[in-house]
Amino acid sequence: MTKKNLNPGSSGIDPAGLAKLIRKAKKGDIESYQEIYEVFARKVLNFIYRMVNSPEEAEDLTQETFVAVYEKLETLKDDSKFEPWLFRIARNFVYQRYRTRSPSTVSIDALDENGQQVTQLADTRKNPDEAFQTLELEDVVADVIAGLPEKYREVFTLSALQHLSYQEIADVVGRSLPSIKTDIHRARLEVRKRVKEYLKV
Amino acid sequence: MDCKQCAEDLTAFLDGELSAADSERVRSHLGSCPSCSHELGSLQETANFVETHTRTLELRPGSWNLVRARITTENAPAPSRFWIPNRWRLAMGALALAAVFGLGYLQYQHIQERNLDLYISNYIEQRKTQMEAPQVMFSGTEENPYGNNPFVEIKASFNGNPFRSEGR
Repeated sequence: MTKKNLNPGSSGIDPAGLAKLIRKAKKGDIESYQEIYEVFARKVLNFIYRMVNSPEEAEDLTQETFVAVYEKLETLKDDSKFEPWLFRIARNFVYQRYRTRSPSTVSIDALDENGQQVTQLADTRKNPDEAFQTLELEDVVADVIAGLPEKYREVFTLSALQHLSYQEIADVVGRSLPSIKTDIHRARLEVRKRVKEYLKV
Repeated sequence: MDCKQCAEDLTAFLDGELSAADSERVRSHLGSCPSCSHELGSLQETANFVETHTRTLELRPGSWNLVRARITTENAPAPSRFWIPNRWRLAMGALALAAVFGLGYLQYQHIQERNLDLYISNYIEQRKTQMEAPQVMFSGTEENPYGNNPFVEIKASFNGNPFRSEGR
């Protein structure tokens, strides 16, 4: 029931091991930074995807985030705060790009110039019927999340989908802990209201 | 704990974000309140539904290579010893700009003063030359030999005419 019991951390890496990788990466060890990338890139990609609703934009911004993170890694004072710091940078990229326009509604099945799907979806489907129903419900959930006000969408994504702690979320979005707690609760109530009719499906 | 307070804490309770004491209070209330228990179940069901039906993106194979290519060609970790925060860089830039303008203004003032001194000394010199220039008297019938010399003061004489005087 509780995500906080999932030690070591929602990212699946123990804090000491992560701190060691960060120390080495700060000294320019690319292989250590690659390990960090492999641990966090998928989470960042999906967080950005929820925010911008476009797989190719999410991929592009994830790349930007990890280039910037490497460049600024030396400025990270407290290595234990790496994850919220990383998400904060990702969030900044999202807001930089989307400050003046609403999030894109590019289809998840967008193809690149070679006709290949731009970003791969995790395939969890079993048979055609099930796959069809799952796809429909995935669209419902995607629409519900995309339809949330921005303020709720980011805290909902960070808590319910990326499993950051409330304190980490407060660090990411730069607001107080009580404010985060209230917003997460309201976001969950809003999501429940919007998916209520599908819960029985 | 009443139902309103319990309802507000239910999400944090589900997420394991309450302190041990607060969790215990919620748990105790839930044990005696079917309505709040139902609310908890509903929130849990929603959370499970969303988590199960959330579309997840996978990284494209080779995505790391794109990042690596950029960090090895464009960037290197910033050296901490000489790193200056952006806000300080901005302030230093503004100071440098102000210093350049200040120095430029002082130089301009200096040049203006020097030009004025030069002008005054030239003027004094010119006046002195004019004062020392010979005064030549001529009758007006003969050709003026100094007609083109600006440094010679020319005075005409009007001999024999009592009604005309010099300077009129």
